[in-house]
Amino acid sequence: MVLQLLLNGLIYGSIIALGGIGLTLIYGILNFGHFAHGDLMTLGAYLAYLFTVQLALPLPFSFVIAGLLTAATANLLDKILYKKLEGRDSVTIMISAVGAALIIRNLILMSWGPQLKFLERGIEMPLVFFDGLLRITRTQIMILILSVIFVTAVHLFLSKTKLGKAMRAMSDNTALAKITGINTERVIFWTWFMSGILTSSAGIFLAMDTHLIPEMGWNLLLPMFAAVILGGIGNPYGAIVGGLAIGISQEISTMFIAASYKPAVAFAIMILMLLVKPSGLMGKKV
Amino acid sequence: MTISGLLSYLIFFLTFAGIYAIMALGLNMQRGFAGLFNIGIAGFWAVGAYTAAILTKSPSPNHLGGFNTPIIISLLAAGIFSAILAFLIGIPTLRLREDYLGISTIGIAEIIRLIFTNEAWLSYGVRGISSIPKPFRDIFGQYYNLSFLALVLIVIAIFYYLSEKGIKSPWGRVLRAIREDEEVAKASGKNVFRYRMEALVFGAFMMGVGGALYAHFTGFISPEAFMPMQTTFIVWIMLIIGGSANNFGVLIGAVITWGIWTGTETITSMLPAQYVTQAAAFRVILIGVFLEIILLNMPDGLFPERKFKA
Amino acid sequence: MKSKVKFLLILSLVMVFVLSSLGVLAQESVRVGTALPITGGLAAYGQDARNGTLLAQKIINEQGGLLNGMELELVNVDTQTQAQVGVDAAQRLVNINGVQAMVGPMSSGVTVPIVESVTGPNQVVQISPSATTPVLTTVEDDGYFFRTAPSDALQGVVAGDFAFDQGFESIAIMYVNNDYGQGLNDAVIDQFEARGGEVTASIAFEADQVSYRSELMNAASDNPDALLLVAYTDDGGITIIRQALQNGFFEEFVFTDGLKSPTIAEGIEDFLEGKYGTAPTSLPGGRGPETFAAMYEEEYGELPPLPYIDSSFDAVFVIALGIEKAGTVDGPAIRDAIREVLDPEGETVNIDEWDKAKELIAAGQTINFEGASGPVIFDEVGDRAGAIGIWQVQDGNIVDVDVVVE
Repeated sequence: MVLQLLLNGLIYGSIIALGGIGLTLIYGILNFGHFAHGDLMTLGAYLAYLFTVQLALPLPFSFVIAGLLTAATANLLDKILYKKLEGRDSVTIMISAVGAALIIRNLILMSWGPQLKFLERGIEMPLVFFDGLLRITRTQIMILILSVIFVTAVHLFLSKTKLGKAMRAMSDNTALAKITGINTERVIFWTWFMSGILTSSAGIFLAMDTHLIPEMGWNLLLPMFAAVILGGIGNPYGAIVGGLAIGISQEISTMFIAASYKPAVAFAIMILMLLVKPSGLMGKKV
Repeated sequence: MTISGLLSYLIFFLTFAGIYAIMALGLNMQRGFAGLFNIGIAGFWAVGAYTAAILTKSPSPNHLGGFNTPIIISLLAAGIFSAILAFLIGIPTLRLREDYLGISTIGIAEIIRLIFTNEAWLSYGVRGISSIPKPFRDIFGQYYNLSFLALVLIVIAIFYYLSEKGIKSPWGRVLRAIREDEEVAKASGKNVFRYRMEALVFGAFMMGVGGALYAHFTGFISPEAFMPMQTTFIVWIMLIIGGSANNFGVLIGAVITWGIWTGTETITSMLPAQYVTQAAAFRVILIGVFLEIILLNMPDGLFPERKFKA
Repeated sequence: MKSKVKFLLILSLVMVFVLSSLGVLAQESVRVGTALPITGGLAAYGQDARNGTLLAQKIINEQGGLLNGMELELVNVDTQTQAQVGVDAAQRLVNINGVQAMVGPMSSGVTVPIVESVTGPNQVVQISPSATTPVLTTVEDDGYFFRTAPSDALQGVVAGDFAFDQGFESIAIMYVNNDYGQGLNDAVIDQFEARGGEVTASIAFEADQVSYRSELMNAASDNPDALLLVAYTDDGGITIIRQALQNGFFEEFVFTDGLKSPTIAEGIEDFLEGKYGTAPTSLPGGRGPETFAAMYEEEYGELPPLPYIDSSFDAVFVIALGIEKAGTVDGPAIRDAIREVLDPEGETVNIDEWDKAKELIAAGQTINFEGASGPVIFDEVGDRAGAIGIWQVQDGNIVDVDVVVE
């Protein structure tokens, strides 16, 4: 049972982590909590549904297209909303993000309706290990492998490329980065782009593992924020660790408390962190 | 529809707008005057509503309650419970940057909803609490809705008066100084944390009372009424349209926003059944776009903050 | 400042327009409310049930309307299958539209609070076509609440019997956490255990969760023979079935009326082939069901295999009978008139014989209404005598295979 819960938590945690990387970078670089991030995730998942199920295109292709379109949407939001609000207080920008979240979610609701959707019509029977103690589907194995690949790619990008280094520098200290002559416009563009791809992928993974509903990403927003705060705002590695920690503790918690309180676990961890060390496990000073 | 029908519609409309206006006054205290980021209004609303419902109902085998308290006490208690909740959230978050408060309030709103959903002994779970007493129903009979509107207006008047008085006092001046520049206020020896906490708690008190009025007016509450976003978001729009840090503007903002919200509902409800889902979603999109336009083009809302004499 | 004045002016104009457009719609008609779920967990049922109510409206208006030629007007509000929205919507029907009688809502979870908070206190007659929880039998409604679907006290007994007769010695129950789920759960447990079976787990679940694996894990922990699932299709039921199969928790199921829809088997036909479920159905007798199926097909196409379309039709018809008998649109009068006019010993009226019903009422006679869902007979608390059908998944379709009469 513990084994199964660990596995479920790992999958769930990877999804949170993938979404959290973008959220934390935006937080660090643009200095506001992006409350529409969860709904971008939903958008990615529904776009994948559009291409694979409704237009019957191959899944890998849909995966890429959905990611690109989500990335484009993220940049569009930045261009028509957040950039124009630059210089206003961060609460105003965050409220406009909340507004964007509602608009995206309801556009999805309008286009696809409130009913559950599945990326695959049938169901896939799991591989069984240890006399039924551990069941895992091929899809879940694929999600785990792809997550590892994505995280490695993000790591290489952030540590090896000039753009990636600039991103981290800006996330660390925006003012300083500006002085040192980093092309901030370009960094911001690629930050939104990367966040869009990652969060869309997370959404598609979630849809593959369970199903699609218009609230799916919104429900993950709080765990994502908790992961970001746990790992320290602006720190992508922190978000990955935080995401996995939140995912696993949510699943394991069902051994001790009612499953219906699962969503509260992420929040409890977050509040504890704020009380003990507000800068997060791996964070800079607040 | 007859004139009396129109009139009863108007009373109904104003009562709801008024309850929302109380929420908006509370938010204005927090956001407008103190700069605090509360997006967990639904949570404070829920605590107020459930407090009132549990206190005033006659005993029920299904959930906690049966205290039969008079409405005046239930309104006060609703405010106090909501204020205590704000106090508890404030402790870990008010010393940190403003977005922590935002994330925490929305988290707590979600958890409160989970508690009321799962703890059936307390709230009868998703089935909700029905038959919440309607105060003075026996006395006013068919003029009941009108008398309830009067009660809402009285509450608004009291809160409006207290807010205005507070904000014009030295206390209010310090509060606005902190909002403008925290460091300067700190340097002049003000206890920033305390002032912020007071604004947060006072605002939450108003929201709790608003929640109690809502419970009494509809006679039924369930956790579904307190989905984190919808209610919270509407109150924010009221504040932004009316003009942050302007109590009068916020009241006007509440009436206008509620008018648009219910007006679009009337129009969409005339559509054939197969479009109802789309229409409901479209309504929220319209409201969202409206908000963004106001945010981008009218930063101060309809009624900007008045300049007070220093 | 000028632009601000302009802005306010435009807004007030919009509001005036909206308010007045409400008035334009008013005409000389008898207004009855319908509060049906067009969206949310029961959307699949609500949309077709609404067709049922519209069909009744059509028959009545084609045959001369009621109260000396006035048209019957149905005002529908969407309950979204949510109690709070439903109560707000019912408040609007009563306070703004001024209805004195309404049909709906569908789910018990929405019906109970509306009875207690809106229609009961305001003395408005309410007939639900589908709220089946036993709670509604004892609810304090002052006689204003009726239902044209039988109570789940009956369905629970039939489902419990059926599960046991299938050879299941132990079952786990998962039920949606509301009055409907709770009521059916309790009734099934009583019956299944009375027959000597064992209920290993009875677990309430919340609607619209991403995953039900934890709940299923608990339900499956004592290795019961089957899962008896009390759920709606669109708010978790389908996910539970799929995850139960996928994770190897259960292979055998017994379903209830909330899942009687072909969507449950979509994509997993092979796994659900031959599985059974229960649902309230017509009492035998009369030519109502056949006539109704024909009328429905003519208007909307083939009658879907969903429950409660027929009972929605009957609910509107019964209210119309009550209004005609009362001679006025007034809650208390309609309530009493419904009880007076319906009588199993009375003259038989079929569902396409509205003019005959009017003549009988004018002559002061009572009526035995053989409705679309069989003869409509209310007991003293407004509950309907009914029967429970057994249905089966065959090739991905829902097929009725048996009827159990009380």
